[in-house]
Amino acid sequence: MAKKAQKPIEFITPPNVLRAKLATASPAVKNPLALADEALKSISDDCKTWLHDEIETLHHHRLAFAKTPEDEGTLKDLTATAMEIKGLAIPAGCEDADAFAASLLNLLTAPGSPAKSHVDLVEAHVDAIRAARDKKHSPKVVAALAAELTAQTSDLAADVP
Amino acid sequence: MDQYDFSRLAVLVVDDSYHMRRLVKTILEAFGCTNIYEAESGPDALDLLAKMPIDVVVLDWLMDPMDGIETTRRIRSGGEVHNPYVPVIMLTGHTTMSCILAAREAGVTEYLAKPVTPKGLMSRLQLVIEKPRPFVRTSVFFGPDRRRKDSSFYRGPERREDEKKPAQKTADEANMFEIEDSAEDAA
Repeated sequence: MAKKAQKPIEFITPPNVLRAKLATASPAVKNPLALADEALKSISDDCKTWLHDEIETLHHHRLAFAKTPEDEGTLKDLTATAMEIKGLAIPAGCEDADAFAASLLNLLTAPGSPAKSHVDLVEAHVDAIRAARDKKHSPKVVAALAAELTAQTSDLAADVP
Repeated sequence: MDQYDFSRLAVLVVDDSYHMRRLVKTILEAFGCTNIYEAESGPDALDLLAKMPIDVVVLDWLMDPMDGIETTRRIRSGGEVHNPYVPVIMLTGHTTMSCILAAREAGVTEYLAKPVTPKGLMSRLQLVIEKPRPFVRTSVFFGPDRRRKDSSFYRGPERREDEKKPAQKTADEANMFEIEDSAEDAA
């Protein structure tokens, strides 16, 4: 059989206009990282409010998901909201919710969608996120719960052929 | 570290979440950025990219109706936008290797995991400014070269037969090496 002719690869190096445009010896902002940290602190109360609302939304999606776990739409809604929580938890000062949201995202996006057949594990994650927001558990309990949920999720993800 | 005047940088922040746009914008403003554009969907972003000379795009993965991966593909395919080479920083909670590879395959320049932090965003901006990736065009891919290593200082024996004759690399072979290197970079 004749070998199919393939195009050679072409390398293109666009001129580095950004460096020429931005480099300066006297920047207007002297310590941008410290300023950005301060700016984030100044909106942390807003972040807390947003996080609270997103966690309530997650709870509503979880109720819908428990009724119809095979529905791709509810799975997508859960995933999108968990992603929001992952983005907001740390700026809102709620590291525990961040850890639970990360594990929930791993469960929701694992190949083969194991979340559909393990609704109880999804619900446990959502409960853990709500408890973290409300500071219901001691750090010891949170650490044990996070380890357990993460381990169960990792096992499920590893089971996928 | 070189210093930058970010007031000259035009950044487009694309996210369907107002909260995330506000967070990213807060950080960028603290860096000194004043030209910050916002879009809440992929199609809106493409419209802006067609009209405005944007320098950097910060793009969320999970959006409706067009996700960040498809938006990146449309940017790279040219035609619709002002600059198909524009650096795209993908912002996402998806941090598995398969997701990183999917983003690279679509033509994403840098990858930033949520939650976004000033340090993380600054380091990605520095990369696109100081170490812009060359672009690669094959029959199946157009986007930033997924290898960032500078091999010009390597003095050992040439082990890859293909490296001796880069012009003769086939598209399939090139793709294979790029995926290998992406995995190494991410690890």
